Amino acid sequence: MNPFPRISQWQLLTLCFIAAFGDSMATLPRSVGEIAKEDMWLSVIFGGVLFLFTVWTAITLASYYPNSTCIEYHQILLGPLLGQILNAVMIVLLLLVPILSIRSFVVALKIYLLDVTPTFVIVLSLLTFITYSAQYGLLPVIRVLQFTFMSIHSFFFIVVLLGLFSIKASHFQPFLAQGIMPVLKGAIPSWYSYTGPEFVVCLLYPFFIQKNKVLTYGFVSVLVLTAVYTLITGIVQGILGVAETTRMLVPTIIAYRGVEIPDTFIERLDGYFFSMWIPVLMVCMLLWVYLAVFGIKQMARLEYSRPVVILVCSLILYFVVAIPNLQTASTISEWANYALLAWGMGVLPLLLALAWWKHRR
Amino acid sequence: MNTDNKKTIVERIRSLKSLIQHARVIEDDTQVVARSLAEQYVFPEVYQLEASLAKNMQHMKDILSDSYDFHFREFLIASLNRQGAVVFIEGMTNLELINMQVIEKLMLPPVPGMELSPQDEMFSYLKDTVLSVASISKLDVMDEAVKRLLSGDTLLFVDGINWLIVIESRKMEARAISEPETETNVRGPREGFVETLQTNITLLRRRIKNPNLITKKVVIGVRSETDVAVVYFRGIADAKVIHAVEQRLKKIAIDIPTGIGMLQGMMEDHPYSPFPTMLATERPDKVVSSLAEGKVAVIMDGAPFVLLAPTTLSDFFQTSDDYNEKWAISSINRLTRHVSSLFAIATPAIFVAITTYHPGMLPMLLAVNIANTRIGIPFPAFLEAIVMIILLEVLQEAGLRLPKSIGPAVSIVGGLVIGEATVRAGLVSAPMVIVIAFTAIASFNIANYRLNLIVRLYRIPVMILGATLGMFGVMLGYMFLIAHLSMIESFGVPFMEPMIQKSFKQFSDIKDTFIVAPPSVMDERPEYLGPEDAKRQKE
Repeated sequence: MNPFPRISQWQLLTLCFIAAFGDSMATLPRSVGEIAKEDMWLSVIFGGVLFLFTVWTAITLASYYPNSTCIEYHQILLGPLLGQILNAVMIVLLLLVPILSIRSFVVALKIYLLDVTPTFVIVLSLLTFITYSAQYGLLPVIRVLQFTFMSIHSFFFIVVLLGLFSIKASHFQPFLAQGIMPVLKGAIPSWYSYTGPEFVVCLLYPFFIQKNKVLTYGFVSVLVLTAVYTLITGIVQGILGVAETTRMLVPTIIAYRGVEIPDTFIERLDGYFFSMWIPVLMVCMLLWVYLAVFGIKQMARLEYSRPVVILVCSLILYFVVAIPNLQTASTISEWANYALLAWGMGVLPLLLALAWWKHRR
Repeated sequence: MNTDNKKTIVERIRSLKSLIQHARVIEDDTQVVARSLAEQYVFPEVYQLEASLAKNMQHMKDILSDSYDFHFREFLIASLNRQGAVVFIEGMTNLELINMQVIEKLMLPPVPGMELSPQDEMFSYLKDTVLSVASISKLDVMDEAVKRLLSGDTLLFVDGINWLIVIESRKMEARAISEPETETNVRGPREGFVETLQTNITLLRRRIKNPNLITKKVVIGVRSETDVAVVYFRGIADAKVIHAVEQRLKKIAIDIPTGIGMLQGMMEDHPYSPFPTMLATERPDKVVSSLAEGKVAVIMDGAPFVLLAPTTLSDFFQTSDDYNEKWAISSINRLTRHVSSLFAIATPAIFVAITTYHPGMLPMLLAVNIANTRIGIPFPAFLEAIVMIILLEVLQEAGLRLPKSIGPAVSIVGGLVIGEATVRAGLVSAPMVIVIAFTAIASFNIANYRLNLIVRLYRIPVMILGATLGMFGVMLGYMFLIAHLSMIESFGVPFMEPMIQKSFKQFSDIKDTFIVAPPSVMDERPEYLGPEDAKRQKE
């Protein structure tokens, strides 16, 4: 394993995109639609713009300590005890995302694809892949992400674009009927969809090759994400309409179920959408688990990550299966969203202010 | 004669027979013990060259035992008035040269007036005046002398001196250069490597007349002393890779490497992975183009295949014909090979997953048609597929092992007849036969035989995943494959490069990956190989 891997801008772009693009796009139209109604797509754009601020904060903060990961500079900024407590909170957040995402993905999978397969079997299969892939270090993980991004994600976007054939313009009207406030409020639930790049930047900053370009590529990744999320939300809204979108558990799948490409082999698109979504989610979860493992390894100053990977995956397996029902999962997701929002909009700016103040002094 | 006497005689005869049998067993055992004592493993380095010819001959006999191909011929060296002997191995030596240029010349009477006393002058006299051979040398170590003898050289012993003369007289029978069997092509050259190291190096030298083509010899095998050559282009190949190849070769601790596969297994980064991280090829033109890219070749004496390092996955999809056709045609062929490998792995798995779990993914009419053909089939789709794949594997293996003239016929006839019969008998459905046939054809399209074998191997676990977890299982299998390939490296180069690029700059490497760019565009060597000189076409 390479002791000091180097990450290029192209790899940074891929990492930031994949960290955010996982399970949430299946439920994003519902969560923003409940608040912003016909202007849900606008909320997604606003959420993206808001997230740019978090990415800027994370990169600027990391640039104060170019040779340290956030696990290290948290301790420099806050002292060993407080720093480690903050690190522990961050690790919990890093673990919470895969737990909730895998749970919500498995629910969707059981409803639409594998109704008789036990939850445990699906989760175990998924985590076996993650355990296998995450144990060989950062560079093999990045290669998995890159290859998937070039192959599976490309096909996935083609499938997503096919949804444009079935949208109805009337579903987007009236425009801004309730004013701008619901649009702004709608951006809050979209936060969960964007989260990821800030952790990538904070944890892996020392490994980036051209640090002066991290901000540019970080912004590009968020802009691409915003465009893709807006497109998906717009397509779902255009196919189902607001009322249907907000009523469905996984509206994106339902929307693609109704897409038919006339005079072709494809009568229903949801199967293809689902098939492509599986690896998309797998690599997203792989990255989150790897980031958590990397954080724990740094916190505990361990040399090898393999035991941590096995421990983390076992914990995720336990908690995913332990969540009793959809309501509990939904409540935890809501709280996790607020926690991630607080991290991005509260903790990171505070740390940045502290770093700025310390460097000024 | 009463009954008791008869019994006694019979018992005595039985005892005698038993005694004779025991005696024979003891005789055999004694012979084995005597042989094992007489034929202990010999270390030539413990023997010293002596001034006495008789003693030296006895040493040679001790070292080579009574091997029937070992010959020695004693005679009088007339010019020196001393006894001499030539020692050689039959079948490896040029007998004509020994007879005409060595023995005959040594038996001629001395030049009148010539007097020789010091031993050093004796070597110069024999070398410069008597022996009319191209290359001779003097040796005073028995170990090295035996190595040279076993390489086909002739040893000349002279009574009264404690060194010997080595006469280069190698002449071994070798297979003629012929067309490569596992890498046939349409427009490329028809030459393939043979089992002789020197011939193989000559095949490369003939194509690259440049002093920077470096060949370095490494001897491996504690007992076999097998010659292995490391070949690279100085000023192009990455020094780190050259060093790594040489170091790994030197570290090989094996008594007799039986083949290039064994050598490869002991040099590779990931010996437990089914994917080879060194490419074995029998095409000199492929080795030449790889050397020009900055790779390092390993040639082993006795093997008609040459290993190339570093190797990445995309190398297994390249053929010589790709560069002999127009780029557009080659690009389509290359792309087809990549797609075929995916089909060859996943088609049965996807078919099983869709028919078992997700018929909704198919158009209604097709789903109904497939369902109709499956009416009356006693097995689930997975079992059908497994039976057909096993049948396919048996036919492929049978076709491979049979003589060339009947092998393909057996495969085709077997496939057609058995396929038709199983459908008629209602054991498998017609769509399944189509799927398996398509899978087989797709796997034939994979350019490299080793990769073809891996695809065939990986097909079954993916199908099991598809049968148990539907499309989720198929995707899981696909992701496991990607994860495994991402983990592998070949001499420091990731196995997935240049399919995945480290940076934007490396995107140019894709011009010889999924497609084949026009030759004029391929003006740079692949970035991922870290060549010393990146430019290919000088301005």
